[in-house]
Amino acid sequence: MTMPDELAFPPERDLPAGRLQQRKAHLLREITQHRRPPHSRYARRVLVLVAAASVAGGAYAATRTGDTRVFDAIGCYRDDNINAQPAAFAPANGDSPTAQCAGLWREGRVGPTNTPPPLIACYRSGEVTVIPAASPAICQRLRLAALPRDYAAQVSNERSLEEALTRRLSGCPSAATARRAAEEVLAGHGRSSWRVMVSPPDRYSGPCTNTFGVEQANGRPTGVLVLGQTIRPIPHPTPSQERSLLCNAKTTGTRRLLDNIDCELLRRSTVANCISIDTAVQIAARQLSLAKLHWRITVDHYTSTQRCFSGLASAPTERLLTIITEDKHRP
Amino acid sequence: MLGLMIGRAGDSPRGIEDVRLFGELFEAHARAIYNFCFRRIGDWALAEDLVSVVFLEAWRRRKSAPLSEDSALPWLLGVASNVIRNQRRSLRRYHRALQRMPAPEHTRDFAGDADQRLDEERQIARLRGLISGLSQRDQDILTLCVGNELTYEQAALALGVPVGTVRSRLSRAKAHLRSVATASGSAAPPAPDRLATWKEQ
Repeated sequence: MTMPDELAFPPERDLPAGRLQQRKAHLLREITQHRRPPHSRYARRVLVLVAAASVAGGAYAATRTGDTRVFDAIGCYRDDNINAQPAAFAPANGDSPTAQCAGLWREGRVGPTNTPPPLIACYRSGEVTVIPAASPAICQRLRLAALPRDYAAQVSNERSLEEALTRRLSGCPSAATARRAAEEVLAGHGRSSWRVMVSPPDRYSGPCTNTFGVEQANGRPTGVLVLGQTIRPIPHPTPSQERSLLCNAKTTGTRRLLDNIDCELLRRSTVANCISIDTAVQIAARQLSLAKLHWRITVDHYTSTQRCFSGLASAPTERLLTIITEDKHRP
Repeated sequence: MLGLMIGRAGDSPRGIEDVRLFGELFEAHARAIYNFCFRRIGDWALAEDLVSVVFLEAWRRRKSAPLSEDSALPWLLGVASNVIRNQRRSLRRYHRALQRMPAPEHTRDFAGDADQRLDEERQIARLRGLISGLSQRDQDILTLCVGNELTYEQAALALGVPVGTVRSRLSRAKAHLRSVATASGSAAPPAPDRLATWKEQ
């Protein structure tokens, strides 16, 4: 099965002839002769809020560059093996991460007992990592950052600012409109000393201001509005469209089985109906049984609030079917 | 390889040996980085410059690199993802270094397949248009998992996020592509099947 052209990545290619070695020589020359990278006019880091996805139902992504923080979720780990998946997730809402994970321990969702051990919260890109440990030194030992002391305040500020910017930069605002909006939002969040500038247009520029980045320019926080390409609103499929896509898919074998499960779950899904994880597991188990396949079923939570069926992921070689969840019913 | 090259955190490896191993690392992974950059930005020429920027940036961050050979490529792809996300700043940072890059010595092959390159740039532009509704992070995940065929674990390592995040975001990206297929009227909506099978090889 091949993807239609419009959804396929072009095949890989090598660097043009001779260029690999030329670039390698240049690279080695640079790192031996110019040890210190040229100074950037801007200091690194800080918040980059990308509102590029504001199209699809106002979806929004927030990230930060370098070692600055974004708080996507709290991962509650069974032990200090942080390369494993967290046993459970909790939402990063500003409450004490260790208290949140202790609650999940008491529910029996993290460790072998319902008694939470001493817990320490560390931080790594996007995740507050909560590990059973007696001393905060565990963070350093695992090469993780310590959780900032003002974590709750940072989360609160971040969420509020994100929400406001998302609202104001949704759609396809012009640079002038976006600048006014960003200045108002920043002032409304106690950041009136920040400067807002529009990034100079370049080859990737377009009419929509869809990125708001923050950098430090000469010690002063500066919001940089970046002009992007036109964003074409793409509606989410309705449940009936999804059913049509999946239930009419001409697939065979394992793919067919997975489509059957997905299709049956979607048949039951309506705007008002969240398919519970229990139901999803039962349906998946029955379909696997009908197909005489002895697979394991796992549930993949992104946060502990995700209680509705969202989709499936499969690993036939491991005979593992993963039910992916979301926090509410399908739109 | 990278571990040998960079030493442990806190060390300050210097000298020809480090540089030589870094050169080997470049030879081993430049192609993967080149193709990842192209898939994310849609311009072969700029992707080539970004390869240099990614490795210059990797050298700068070598103390934070992972210590195993297996994780070198995911780590480099993570650096590439950051470079692309902050493309203007990265290019500005290494502007002078790029200016010192000699003009291409070999142009014949490039000219020979210029049409094909342009076709590929048009193809990737269409694809990027279709996934433009996804967040940058979701586009990264899609490109890493589908384009570069990284496993969930490798993609998580590259982007510094939990494996579950990769899973759920890839699922969300797939759902989004379903909607793209519907909206663009594709006769055979491909995304769910094709994207789901990448991990099943």
